[in-house]
Amino acid sequence: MIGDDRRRQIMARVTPLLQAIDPEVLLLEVLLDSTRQQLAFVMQKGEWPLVIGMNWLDYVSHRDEELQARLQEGIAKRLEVVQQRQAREEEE
Amino acid sequence: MRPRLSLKRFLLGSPLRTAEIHEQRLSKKAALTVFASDNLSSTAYATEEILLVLKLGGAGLLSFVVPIGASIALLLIIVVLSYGQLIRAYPTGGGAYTVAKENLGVGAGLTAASALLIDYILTVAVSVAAGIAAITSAFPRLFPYRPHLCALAIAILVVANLRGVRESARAFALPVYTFVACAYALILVGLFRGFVQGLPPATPDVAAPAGPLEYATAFLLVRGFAHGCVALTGVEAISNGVQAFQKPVVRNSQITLYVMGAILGSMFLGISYEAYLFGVLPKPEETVLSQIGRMAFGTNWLGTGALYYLTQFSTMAILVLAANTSFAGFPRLASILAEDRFVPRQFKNLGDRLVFSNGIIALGFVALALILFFGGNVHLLIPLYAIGVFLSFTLSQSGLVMHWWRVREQGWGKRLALNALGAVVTAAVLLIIGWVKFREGAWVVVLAVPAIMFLFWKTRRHYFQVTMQLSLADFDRPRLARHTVVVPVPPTPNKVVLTAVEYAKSISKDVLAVTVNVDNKHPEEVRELWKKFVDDVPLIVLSSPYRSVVQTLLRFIDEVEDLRREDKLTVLLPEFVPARWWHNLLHNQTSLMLKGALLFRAGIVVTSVPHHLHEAAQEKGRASRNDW
Repeated sequence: MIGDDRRRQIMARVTPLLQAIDPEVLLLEVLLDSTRQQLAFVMQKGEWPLVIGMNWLDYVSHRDEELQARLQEGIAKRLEVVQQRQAREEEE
Repeated sequence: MRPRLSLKRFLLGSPLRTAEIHEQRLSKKAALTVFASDNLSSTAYATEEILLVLKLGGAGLLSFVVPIGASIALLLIIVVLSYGQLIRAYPTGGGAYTVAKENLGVGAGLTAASALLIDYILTVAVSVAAGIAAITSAFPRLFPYRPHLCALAIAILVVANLRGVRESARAFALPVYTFVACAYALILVGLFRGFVQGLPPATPDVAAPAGPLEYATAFLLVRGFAHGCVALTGVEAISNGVQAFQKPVVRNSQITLYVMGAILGSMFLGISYEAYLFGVLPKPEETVLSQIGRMAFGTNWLGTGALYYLTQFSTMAILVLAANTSFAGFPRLASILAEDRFVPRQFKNLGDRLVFSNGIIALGFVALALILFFGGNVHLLIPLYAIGVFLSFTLSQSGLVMHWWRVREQGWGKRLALNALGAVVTAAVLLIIGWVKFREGAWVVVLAVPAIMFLFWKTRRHYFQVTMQLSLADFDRPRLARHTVVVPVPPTPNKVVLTAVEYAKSISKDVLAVTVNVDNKHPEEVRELWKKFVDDVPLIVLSSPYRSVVQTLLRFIDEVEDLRREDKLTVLLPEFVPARWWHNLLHNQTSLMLKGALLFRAGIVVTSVPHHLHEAAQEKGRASRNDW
């Protein structure tokens, strides 16, 4: 589990980037897995939770612009999936 | 403390050990009551079915009830002797299904099986409805309550059969032997009154139909014969249940079969002759047997009339018990089919009392549905009847012909000839019944047989596919790289939640808790509270503007599953189990709903961590306030 200070730092870095990408996307939590190599950003847009993974080394080595581009790409992919799920739920 | 006697134990008795199965075998006398009641009871309505048809041709045709009865008795002799051969060839039982399957192929076997299953169901429906008709004949006030009485009779039969083979035989012996005694007394007293006392025959009030009658007469005679063939239903029951007999099983079951045939033939002929002697006609409100009984015995309670009422009650009893033959035959056949995977395998499970409980219960339900659908009216049910029996007769006799031809043991020629005769005669009768009764309702059976066969094949196909998919032949041991556990929790932690989290930590290093904040608390507040109790598992606080907890959780689980495609994902559900079942009504059942929703998701393991509540704890208010 990620430490409180580190969590706060990451959230402080990522939150404004997300605001710039899509103000409706809220960052809820940052997770680090047991290998301590994989990060996950848990977000929510409206009723839909979104989870994006990222390698820890990528996170620390990316500049903010690169990180924003990665996040934007990840969010776009997740929203695409969300759209498909929404269509499926409406069908059901 | 006094031991509590459950309703199940009270009704069904204590469970029997599997080793006691051999002690449940039947003597010849007991077997006659279990396997012959269907066959013998058909004398209560077979004559009436013939008369119902002959009546249409006017009074002149009524005398044909005797020759038609005699031809059916001749048919009975052929069928009984043929089935005696079947018992000899197949001492392990199984009857028409096994014989047809082994000698004519699986398709023929399944045709016989589906025909027999239909007939077992119809036997219950017809026999119970006819039994209740015997009572409503004697007590017309009960006439409107026929469906209720039928349901009660079926319930009694189901319970008696669930208690076990030997106990059902013990319970049914008295009514069966009373009926046989009453029927013979009725025939003897009737003959005495008819010939010695010269009792005048009732004049049948039947108008002769106008117009040319030659073709119509011939058709009515054939139709009367076809209707009377219901007398033969149940002959096959002994051959299906050979293994229920005490040793030597072949000899005992053959003797029982021949005794049954002799009793049936003599009673059927006697009753048919007396119907002719007294000029009795079927009436909607009174059975033919009841009318003969009134004429032979009178109806004064204190004199011979007591015998009339005894006959009516024993008729009702044996007709209801006739259904018992099906309760012996249907579950056995279903268990054999289950062994071959043509019906659900639950049908081959022996219950507490060493009987095929699922078959007994299923038969009871289907027969009851049929009776309620037809309002307990025997004459509406009869046209569906007998066609399945003769189809299975024909297939089993044909199968035996092939069997004797193949084995060619000593004396095979005679046996082959007898079964060939049986096959030809029963096939001819099958065609006659099919032709005559088709528009009266036999078409239902003609459609039902292939429909049931289709279900047999679909069931077998399913089991085959399951076996293939579970087979270890091409098994690659799954490689579990990592294991992520998601624990859905309520916003406020409690004992149940903390127990579940501790368990989750014991099975994986990657555990995350998730909650849906429907109360609009500040997420940080929820998180801080969580951290007070659990500081090594992150809590994701999702929001749901529309308060849909389950859907939001499912969407989150989908996201985690997408992220950790290489991992095994476990959703671990903390659940508390209330002390009383009805306490469940007071809680949200979120876990149950999640479990239901995740049940059909491939690749997700769903686990419950139950926490059992105690009544005392609840009374003291120590139980969780949480409705999770």
